[in-house]
Amino acid sequence: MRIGRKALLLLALPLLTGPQTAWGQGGVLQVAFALGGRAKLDSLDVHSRGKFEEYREVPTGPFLEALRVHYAPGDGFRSYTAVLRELAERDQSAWAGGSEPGRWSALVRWDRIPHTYSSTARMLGRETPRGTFTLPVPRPDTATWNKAAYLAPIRTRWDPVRASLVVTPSPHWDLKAEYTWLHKDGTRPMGMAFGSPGNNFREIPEPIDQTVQSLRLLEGYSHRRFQVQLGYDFSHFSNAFQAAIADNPLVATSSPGSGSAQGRAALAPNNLAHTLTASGALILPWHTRVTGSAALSWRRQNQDFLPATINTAISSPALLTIPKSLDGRVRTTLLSLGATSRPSSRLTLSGRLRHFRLGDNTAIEGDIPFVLNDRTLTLPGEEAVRFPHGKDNADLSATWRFAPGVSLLGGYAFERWERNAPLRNTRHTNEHAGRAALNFDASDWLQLRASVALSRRRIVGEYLAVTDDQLPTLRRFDQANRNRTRWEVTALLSPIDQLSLTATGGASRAKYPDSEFGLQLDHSWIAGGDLEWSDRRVTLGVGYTREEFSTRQRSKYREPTQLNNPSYDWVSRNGDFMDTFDAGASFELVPNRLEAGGYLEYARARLENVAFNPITPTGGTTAQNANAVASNWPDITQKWVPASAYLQGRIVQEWYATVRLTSDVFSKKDFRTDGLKPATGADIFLGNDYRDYTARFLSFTISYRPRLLRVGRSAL
Amino acid sequence: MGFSIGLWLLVVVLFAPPTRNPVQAPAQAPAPAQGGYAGSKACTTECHIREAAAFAETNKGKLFLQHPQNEMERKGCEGCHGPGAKHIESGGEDFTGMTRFGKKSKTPVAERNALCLQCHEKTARMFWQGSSHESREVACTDCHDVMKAVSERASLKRATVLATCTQCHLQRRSQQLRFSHMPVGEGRIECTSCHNPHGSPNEKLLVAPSVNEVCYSCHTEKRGPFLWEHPPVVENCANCHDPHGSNHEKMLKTAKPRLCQQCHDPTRHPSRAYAQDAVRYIPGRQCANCHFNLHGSNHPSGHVFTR
Repeated sequence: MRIGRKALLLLALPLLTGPQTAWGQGGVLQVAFALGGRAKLDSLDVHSRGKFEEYREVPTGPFLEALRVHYAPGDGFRSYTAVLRELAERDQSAWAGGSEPGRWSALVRWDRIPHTYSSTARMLGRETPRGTFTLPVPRPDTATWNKAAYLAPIRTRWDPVRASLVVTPSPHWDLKAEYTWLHKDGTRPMGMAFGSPGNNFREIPEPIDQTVQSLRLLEGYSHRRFQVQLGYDFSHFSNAFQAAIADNPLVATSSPGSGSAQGRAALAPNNLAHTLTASGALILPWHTRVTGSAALSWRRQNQDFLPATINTAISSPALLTIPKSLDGRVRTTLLSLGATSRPSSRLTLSGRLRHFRLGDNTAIEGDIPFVLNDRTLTLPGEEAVRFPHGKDNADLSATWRFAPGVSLLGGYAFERWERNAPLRNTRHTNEHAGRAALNFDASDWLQLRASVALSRRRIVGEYLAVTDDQLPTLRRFDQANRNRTRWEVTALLSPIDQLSLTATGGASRAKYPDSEFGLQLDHSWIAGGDLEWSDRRVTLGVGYTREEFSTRQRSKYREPTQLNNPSYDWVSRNGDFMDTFDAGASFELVPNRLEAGGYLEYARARLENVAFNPITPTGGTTAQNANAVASNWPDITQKWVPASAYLQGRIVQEWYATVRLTSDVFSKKDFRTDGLKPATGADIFLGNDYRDYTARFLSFTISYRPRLLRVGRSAL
Repeated sequence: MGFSIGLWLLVVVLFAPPTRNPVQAPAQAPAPAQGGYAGSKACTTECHIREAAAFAETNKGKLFLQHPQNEMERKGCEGCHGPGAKHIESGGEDFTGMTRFGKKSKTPVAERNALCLQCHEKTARMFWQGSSHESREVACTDCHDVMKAVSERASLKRATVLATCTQCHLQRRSQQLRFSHMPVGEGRIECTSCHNPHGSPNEKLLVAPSVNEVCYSCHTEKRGPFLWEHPPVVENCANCHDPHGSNHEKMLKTAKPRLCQQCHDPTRHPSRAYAQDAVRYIPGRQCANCHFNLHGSNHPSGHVFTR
């Protein structure tokens, strides 16, 4: 990687020799770039880089931060641009495009998006071929597992390439074609349960080699009275790996009842989807605009099933009756109709109807016999239930303008869910919601938006306990009766042009009044603000938000002999408490010569879980009573503090030199993952975790930035 | 009968006297060329030299000032701001008949927006009217700055989409500093990858008919259909995930196993209030240690998502 980056930097150098030249007949070719070197001030070993490089790469040594080439032909109208960022790094991106405003634009973009899950995973055995994880016989003991060598970082890399062309042959027509190729490569942790001995499992790095291809065609026609838009989308997913196979760390010889020496799990199957969309808008008399939209989508999945088990000690004629593949067919339908009318300058009326259905036409019938965890043959098996559902929405609102810049909105919304599946607890739920919003923009210095919404969701008919072992008074939160209140306020104050202050606050409270068990309360609130100062030489910004989320749920520990022991009830309160602070500044120390600036972000989170039994557990065996006891978890904390400061000077003309000190500090305390060893009880983990880190880097960048190219998020 | 009524309605609609854009006030109609228009030269060479220079470098500036395609664009600055002759005569004091787009604008938001929509009310803006942003009186210029090149594309008011949206949606910015978040803050995807802020026929201004279909555009491996499906997954990814960022791994809304236990209470292990030292169910990825395929399994033996 390092050699490759240096080589590419050398290749790029000739481009930098003539930053701005006349080219062709009056055309202008401009080049802007930023390149430099980075040195680390702290030693950050590879095992501490997991979180630090979660979505990026920050190498030491030379780097090309950005290169931008822009060409405008003599007419000054068309333009062509190519941009490279973070060249030859894991998170590099590149795009090239051209446009003629109002006529056409074309773009090809290639990004690389790494996602590092950890750099501390450890594992024994070999992976040959890829996706098959073998262990020696006899199986390694606990001590050997805990001395296992580190793997390469558990990481996936996405490489999306997108090409698009937009053509406007006349002011009435818009044509767009977009093709996207997304390749995902790497690994991700996954589990493999074996069920024996003692329900053990093992963690392995799932092989990822997946490709998504999608094509989107869009055609629009606009007329003074109406607009029409037609679209077609095609999407295809293919996975190079249909299965992952792993040796059982505790069993070396398969047997019919006590376990399998190997487990085999299915990975995501290939699938595809076609979608047709049609949208339209019609301008009617009396200042009315009607819009409509229809979208039909067909999904298909017909990947061959894996055999029901890899355990050669298990066989049954019933397993031979399993179909070859699913022949899965799903169709979604969306119909929407909306209208907005402004019968007077003070009143706006708006309404919308929406109808969404997901129908599953997969024709798989009867029970599927199965072998649980490659260990337990289960006959006759279970039915593979399908879950068709639908949602209908209606929304009406009226906005009244009391005075210029002051308006009040009142609205009503209705939502109906339809779930036509045997394993769902409700067939229908209806939710009615009322809302009001105030918009105030009548002052030079104050803009205020406030809203409140109240809603009630109710089950229509019975709530069905669909399995024998489900508590009849449990209500699943997505289908339960719910009373919800939400409000929010945002105020933007700008007493003078240079100063703006944004303040925001909001809360949401959802109560599930009939949920004796399950989620009972979901409450959150946020308060925060932003202060910005901007004049010709100074830009300052400071922001802070405080957020709290809390939920309360009630459950019951259940044993076959203690299904309804009231003292086995337990309650859990889960809370997330977050503070986020950010500050940024830039100062023009010497006009057009010297600038300094930086930013600091500070995010702190505390996760609290309080669990208790309202009544001390009793009535069962000693072991059962002990298992029924609920207790608090230790708090989980996370802290992340990225910061950067720079000094930038203009050397000559459009040449700049920048010195930047970057600091990034992350720490967490999480009893679930801290110090996790590969061998934990009977289970084998990868033992992976994000480690705390403190990273400080010093970088020096030389950049050439013609004024015309000084836009965007980078130094360019 | 029904067809003939429909045909009649279509004829009435198509041949009825045209109305302006429904939210466009009559006062904003461009006056005839001789009616108070001074031409862009007066603006760009006398008083607004700096603004004009910056505008000329933008795509819109090139279109309006150098390569106009229609009558409105030929008016240059006055194509959007209205006739400026009186404004010039008054030494910049009189704004009668003109539209301003900044903080001190007295023109109602709907009328300002209507000027933009004269040309832009198609494709992605087709559902602007009636959308949540429109009904909350959000102005086009709250998010876009066509007078200077601030962003790489889309004439945004801030350098990035995230910075533009979080002018109001402050919480979304702080969520980018959560332990688990999508790489929006890192610039790898954008708010507009999932939402169309200009309006859509879908909930939450989504770009696809359902939450899941938005997610499937990248996470296509979750699309299925699978042999064994997990109904809350099929219905809405947001039942369990907060896509804007969370403190819990995989952007979950709360910690496992509590999240799973909100719905699952069968006998034995799903119903137990695990203490911190409970092996297998608490370390690592909790329930997903074994039930890793919980988004759906295509394995004949995957009905509890362990295969």
